[in-house]
Amino acid sequence: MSRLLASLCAVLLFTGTARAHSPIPAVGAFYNGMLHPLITPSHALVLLAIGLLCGQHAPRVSRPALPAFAALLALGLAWPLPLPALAADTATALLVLAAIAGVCVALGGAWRGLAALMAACAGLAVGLDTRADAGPALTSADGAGIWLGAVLAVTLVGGLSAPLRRTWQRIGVRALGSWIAAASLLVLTLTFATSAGAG
Amino acid sequence: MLVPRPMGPSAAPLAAIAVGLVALALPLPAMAHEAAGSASGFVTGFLHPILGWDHVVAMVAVGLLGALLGPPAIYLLPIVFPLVMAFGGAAGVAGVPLPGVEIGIAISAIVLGLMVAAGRQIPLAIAAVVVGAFAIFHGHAHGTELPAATDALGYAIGFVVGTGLLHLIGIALGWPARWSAGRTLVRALGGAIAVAGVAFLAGAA
Repeated sequence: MSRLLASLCAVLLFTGTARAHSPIPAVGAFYNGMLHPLITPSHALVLLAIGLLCGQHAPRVSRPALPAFAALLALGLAWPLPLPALAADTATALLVLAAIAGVCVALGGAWRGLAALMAACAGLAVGLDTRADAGPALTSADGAGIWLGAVLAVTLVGGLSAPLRRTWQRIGVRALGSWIAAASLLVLTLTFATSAGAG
Repeated sequence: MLVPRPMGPSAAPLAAIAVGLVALALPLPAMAHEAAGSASGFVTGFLHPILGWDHVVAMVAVGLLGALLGPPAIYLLPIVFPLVMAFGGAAGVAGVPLPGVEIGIAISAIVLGLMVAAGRQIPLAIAAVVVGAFAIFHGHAHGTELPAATDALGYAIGFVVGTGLLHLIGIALGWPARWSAGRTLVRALGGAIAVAGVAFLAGAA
């Protein structure tokens, strides 16, 4: 639990402005890509939620969910340009997915099909959002790095949370889920309020 | 030779009065909502509930109440509170007016403090409804300042995490409630929180 909390704190404290497309010199496109999902707050939040969802009832839930996430993430990253109009709302979709996944974690239910569907949608949304953000500048090295970074992040969070079986540990995971849901819901409301005000 | 005596039941009211007097001496003006201009990112969101004493005492009271009531309240309240708080925050973000937010926050400290000080085994449903109702006020106060934040998601994560950690501190402070003397101390803390709430109310009203 302490390692999970340490990882979460590290992600939360060091997330800031997305810098995936202003690469860190001397690190290279691949490693910049790997960092991208971790330093983009909305991506990090949804990856944390999906990782907890997978780990909370592993391996029953993680078996279908992790491959679905990895496959749809690859599809989203490789989607040919121009992207479909739907992809314009991927930032909102990420928040919706984080909120639903957070609520699922907070409720603690082992909904295998729903978790797999959520993981697949999250993978696609992260992939398309990155694709839309980077545009033609996204190289195959960037894409490979992003794919590996995101899959590792979900697997790591799932792997760290899976052994947490004591009552207080399971409650800690559920509390994290409620925090994710609460933060996502608030920003989602702000997004809608801002767009309604602009409209 | 002087041998220290264990604190008996008669010492409990004295302890409560002492803690209450300290609480009366310490409260400062609530400054939770003065940072709108500089509100940005995770750190600002994280500090928002922590630097506002009205939020701090109420959140610690939620943790104390959970610890005092024991399972399942100790687990459920910290999970339910952020979710309900988010609805209050959403109302604040959307511009839905909620009259007397600062007064509601001050009253939350009084009511939650008194619930802890009473030390009664309150039914979980009642505790959840009371805590949830006050969560709306706290969430609304945080949510109102969200649009001013340059990094809204970082701010939202920050204040949710800050609030959760305050609950955790409350639960940790309430841990001694498992022992008789510790229970008295926790109840005294509840009394001090209620007194602090009165001070906030006097400042907010």
